[in-house]
Amino acid sequence: MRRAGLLGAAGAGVLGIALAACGSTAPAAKASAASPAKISVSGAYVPLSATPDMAVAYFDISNTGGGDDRLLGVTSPDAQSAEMDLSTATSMTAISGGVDVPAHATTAFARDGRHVMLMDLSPAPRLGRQVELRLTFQHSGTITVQATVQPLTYQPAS
Amino acid sequence: MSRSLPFLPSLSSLSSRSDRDTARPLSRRALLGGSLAAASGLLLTACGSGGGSNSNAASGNSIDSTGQSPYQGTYLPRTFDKPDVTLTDSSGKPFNLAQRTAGKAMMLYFGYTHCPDVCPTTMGDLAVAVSKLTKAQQQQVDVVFISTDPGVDTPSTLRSWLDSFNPAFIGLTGDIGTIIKAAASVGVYVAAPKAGQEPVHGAEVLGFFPSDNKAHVLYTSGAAWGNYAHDIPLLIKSVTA
Repeated sequence: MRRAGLLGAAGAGVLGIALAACGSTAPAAKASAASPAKISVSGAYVPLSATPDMAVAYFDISNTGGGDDRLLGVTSPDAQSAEMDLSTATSMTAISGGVDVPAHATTAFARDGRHVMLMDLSPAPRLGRQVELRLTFQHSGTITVQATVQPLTYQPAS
Repeated sequence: MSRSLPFLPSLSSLSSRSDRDTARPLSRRALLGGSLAAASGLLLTACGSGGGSNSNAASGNSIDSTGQSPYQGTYLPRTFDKPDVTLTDSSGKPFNLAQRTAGKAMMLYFGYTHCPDVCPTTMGDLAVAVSKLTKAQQQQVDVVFISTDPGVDTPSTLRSWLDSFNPAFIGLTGDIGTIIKAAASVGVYVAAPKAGQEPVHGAEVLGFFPSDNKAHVLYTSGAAWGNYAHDIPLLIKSVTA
């Protein structure tokens, strides 16, 4: 512990020097000081499902601000329930405790990773229609997006 | 991200395991899964996942970039016999897998229909790949989906689910013990569903040759439809590495 503490202190010292050297023009220095998370959600889609009562939503969360945020949960007025899940090698688990949305990064909900499982969508999804998603963040409040219903085998260009 | 190379030590460390024969395919898979989990643990950390990932973490990639084999999937250092198992097909009739698919290339996946992400995306990738083949090629490959949740996946449920992907896809259901054994025989881990728990699906798709009816190529969840579309014509010709 002591050694780690010293190392940490040394690290902070170096960082301090670096920041001082950069002066106030360095965006990174400003950002790490106080600028808040700045969240946008893009590319939201719901592939048509082969299972009548179940669908999933995928999207990208971009945080261009200087502060970290956390996605606490997702709801949809069009679904009976919505749950954030993580696919594993052989199954999936519900995500508890939210999802970190770090500063200056994009956090993806994408196939074979995180998704939002939507149960009993009503009306049933049809090509080209939209499904409303409400994403609630710890610092940025609730952001509402429209996910576009896409073909079953749709994959976004990466 | 490094591709198939990290798996090789896992595969070679197989021989040091002293499991009994029946357990061997499982332990091999567990080793594979372990290295996948380790790799994806790093990945998830890198993208800041807050999801409590466990040793079964998501998103491996079996795509071979070593240039050693003509396949984009992982060419297996050992083969697996096509399971000689009789299950129930989606019309409710008995179906012997080895007999009915003999002499054709086969893509085999174990999964369940009430599955939000990996099962439909895997079958969707296979469907897109098959749609890119010529008519003649399409007739030389069977895509087989064996249910890991046979209590839910009745023949008619399987049929309507598979029809969303490709009406020619073969769906099999039956006794879970028989299915678990068939899966283990090709190195795929399947467990019986438990009440209140999400069922499991196979972590991999296996590609079989028509010449010897053995699995030679493996795909994990990192595989894309393009990898299947590239490889199925080679599998049809039983091209060896």
